[in-house]
Amino acid sequence: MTVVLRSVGEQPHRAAKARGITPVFIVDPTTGRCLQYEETHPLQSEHYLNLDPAVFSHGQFEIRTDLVDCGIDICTPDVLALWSESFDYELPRKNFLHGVLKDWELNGKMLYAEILDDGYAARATNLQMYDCISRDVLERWTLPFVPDSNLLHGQTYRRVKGGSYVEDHVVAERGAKVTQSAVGRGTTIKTGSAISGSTIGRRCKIGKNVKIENSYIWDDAVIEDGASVVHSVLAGSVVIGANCHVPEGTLISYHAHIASGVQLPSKPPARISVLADNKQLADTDISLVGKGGKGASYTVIADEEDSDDEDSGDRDPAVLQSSLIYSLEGLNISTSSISTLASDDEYDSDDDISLAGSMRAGDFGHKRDRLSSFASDDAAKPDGFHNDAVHGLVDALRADDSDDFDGAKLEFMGLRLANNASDGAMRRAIAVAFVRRAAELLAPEHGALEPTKAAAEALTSKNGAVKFVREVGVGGEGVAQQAEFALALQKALTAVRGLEPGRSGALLAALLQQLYSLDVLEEEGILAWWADKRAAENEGLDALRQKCRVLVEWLENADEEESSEEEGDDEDE
Amino acid sequence: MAPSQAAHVPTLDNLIKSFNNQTLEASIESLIFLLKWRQVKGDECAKATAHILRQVVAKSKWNDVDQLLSRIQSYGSRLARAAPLEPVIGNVVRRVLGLIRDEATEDRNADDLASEAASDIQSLTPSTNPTAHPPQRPAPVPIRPSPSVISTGLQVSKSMFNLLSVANPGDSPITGASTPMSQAQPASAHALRSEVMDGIEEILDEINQADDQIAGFSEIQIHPGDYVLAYQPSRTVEKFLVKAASKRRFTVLIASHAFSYGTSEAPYATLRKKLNAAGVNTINLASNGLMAYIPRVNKVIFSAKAVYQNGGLLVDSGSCIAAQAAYEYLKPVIVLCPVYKFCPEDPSDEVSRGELGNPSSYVSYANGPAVDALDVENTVTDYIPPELIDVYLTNLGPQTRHHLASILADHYKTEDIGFSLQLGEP
Repeated sequence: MTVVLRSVGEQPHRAAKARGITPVFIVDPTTGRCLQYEETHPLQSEHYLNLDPAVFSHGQFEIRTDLVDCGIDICTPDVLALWSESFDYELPRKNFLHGVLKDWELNGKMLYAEILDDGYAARATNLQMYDCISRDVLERWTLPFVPDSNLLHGQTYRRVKGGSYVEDHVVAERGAKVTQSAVGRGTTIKTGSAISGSTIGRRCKIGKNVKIENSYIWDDAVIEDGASVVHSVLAGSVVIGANCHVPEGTLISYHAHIASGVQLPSKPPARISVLADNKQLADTDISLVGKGGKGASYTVIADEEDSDDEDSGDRDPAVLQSSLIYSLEGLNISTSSISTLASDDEYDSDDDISLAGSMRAGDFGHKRDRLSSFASDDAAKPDGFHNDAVHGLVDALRADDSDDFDGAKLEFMGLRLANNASDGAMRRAIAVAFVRRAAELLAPEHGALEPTKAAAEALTSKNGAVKFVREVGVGGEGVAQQAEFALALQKALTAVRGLEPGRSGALLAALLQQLYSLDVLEEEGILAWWADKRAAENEGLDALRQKCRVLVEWLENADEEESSEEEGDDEDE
Repeated sequence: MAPSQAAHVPTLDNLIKSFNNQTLEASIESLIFLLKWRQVKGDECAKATAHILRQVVAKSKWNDVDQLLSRIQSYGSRLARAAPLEPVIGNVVRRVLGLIRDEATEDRNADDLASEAASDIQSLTPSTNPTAHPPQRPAPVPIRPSPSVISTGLQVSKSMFNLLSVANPGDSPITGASTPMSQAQPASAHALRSEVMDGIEEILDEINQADDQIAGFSEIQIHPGDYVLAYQPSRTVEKFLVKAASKRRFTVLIASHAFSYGTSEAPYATLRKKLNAAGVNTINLASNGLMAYIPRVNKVIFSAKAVYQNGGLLVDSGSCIAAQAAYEYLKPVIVLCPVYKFCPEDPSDEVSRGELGNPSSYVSYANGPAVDALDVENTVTDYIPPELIDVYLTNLGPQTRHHLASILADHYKTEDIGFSLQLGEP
């Protein structure tokens, strides 16, 4: 497959600016082979791209963002096979091209880019491009695709003075000024009107002293005396009443009617349609279109993709020429002749979040994906890492078939790196996991073990679990870390449901003792926890804490003994 | 336009080849398509038009001259409308129309002569008026009708009318002349078809040979030691210069406007090689430096896309500067224009304003700020007023402005001059 591209230079023309999404082609300039394809846009969170290491194996490569992609590819029949193999490819560029280049090792298909430096290439993928291409046509950049070529049957455009193109049977009264515009057959323009840079359809009626600038007015529209229209799109059979003002960026769909004297809002520009998003007739909004008008403001039910676009619109003055415009009922029908990509945009808006998520998975890592899948599991705790980690660990502790804890440890570490989780979060997750497991073992269906046995079972049944708790859960030799871990265990126990306070207190004491005897926690750590005010900041915590008094007292004594032993040891040396 | 693009589109030669196995309508449509896309332009238009009209004569159904004429007119006007700035299309259509009228008149005259031979001397009708015979009467007529029949009011008025129309067709309305022709025999349609097709072949030959014929006059026009300024030499001018170079020693200054974007090759390299091989020196000029050389130049030569009846020219843009400069310095301006480029009409508004080309010849589309800020008008055709032209060198020999009318009168029928005015709705 060869992708046909037009270079637009370092100072891009409006066609390049109007793209919204900037395609990034990484091309081997010697062979013209396309090595990687990415897309960037101003709204993405990460302003960098990852280059495939394989790119560097080519002697030379260019990273080009100065290309206008008109969406024309020269394909071999293999391309169709590739498409049908990858049924999840929706967009020819973002999915297909990106995917095929990425899986080059797998497919072994080479793709090439033909970069043109002359001629004209563009694709009307959104209203901004429609605007831009229309202006290029009027300025003859697209020769021979200019109005006076009359390429379509039945067209009779002629070039007249003022750089305009006029079809037969156009009546422009004396005093009407038409410059840099195209006017279709049967349109009448009354005296005093000034039209510049605009495209006017057939059989339009334009009254006296009307001002139209850089606008697109489709067939059979009526613009009454004294109205002004600036940089807007008026679809077929629209009626604009006398002395109306249609500010920049307005979109008015088929058959809408603006009553006389209405000033349409300019920020944000209005989008008026007689149909609502659900394709039913909308209730006329008299405050918008005036008394006697027809049509209402058109809004799309925003999903995630769209809300992104709206963000861009807020920053972009030509908000209504953004890709959202396609959703306008009337426009959608007609733009199909201009842009085949309109249908792609429909996909975007129709598909639900899961598709959007999967399409972005490549760009944003797995975070989003996981998040959405676990969000339903535990809605109260939106922390994806925590839930994920606790599930993983508890599952590993429960596992009957394997004594090995290394797999769970690996998974946990991977998760931690993927989410950039803090030490505190890890500690909390590990504490919760072990406490859950221990609490489970107290329950009758798991054998109704005594707290001490349950604690021992939870910590020691799997090889490496103790080491894991020591290295990752506590995460250091310091007294402070040990105290933190003990606190985490205590808090985790209060959160365990279905356990009476007495038993959970006993379990906490058993766990601490077990950890002590396993050399995970030292007496300084446990004593530091005991002294910590946070360990007794509410009743539940305090009740648990009190249950450990025996242990702590024993520890204090042991401490004394030990210290004396140490002294003795020292003396021995 | 990139040259690479042209390689992929159907060319005129392919198109003409395809005429034989396509339907007539398909051929016409594909030619109109090429004209609109400007893949066929200039001299090629004339050839293509002649070819397609020959197909119209050969393939379309017609029983009499009137039908044939209206076919040619309707197809011709479609072609002419497709390329309003290629007047040669209209010229060829007019030539073919005139040809058909001539053939039809000959046929009828032959019939009339035959009938006259059979008629009696006692006929009261003056023998100098062969067309005064009642046209609706099928020929050959063995016996002349009695004078009493002829003298009925209706018959007489018709006869008088026809008499006038043949003697002086310019005075009759367009349809008037065709009235008698409609009486041509269906039997003679076959003969007429082959005669008209032969005639179109002749027109094609004329178009093909015109350049060589014009080149034949080169040694008369170019003298030894001349400095000849050739502005953007077309194929016609190239042939003319190469032919002259075989006989004369002179110097050619080749002027062309600013080189178009991205081409590194020196312009007119092949022409210069040919001329140098013949021992003629060439000098390349940019058109903005042309004025400085004009005092040294003996004559200015370029070719026209069309010549209007007032003597004005439709030319490639830039020639007007050369013509104007030469006019100011009283240097002769020689225009090479085959007869088929003479239009029996006045230049239209569109012609005098010039055709606009693609601005990318002057401003690169990649230059964003310039594209946004500038309105670039790249005129690709100029209109040159007749005062600036001294000699029109046609394939029939050099002419001055004052003799253009006779050339037009020789080649076009008055009935067909208004051809372009008959362009109706599509």
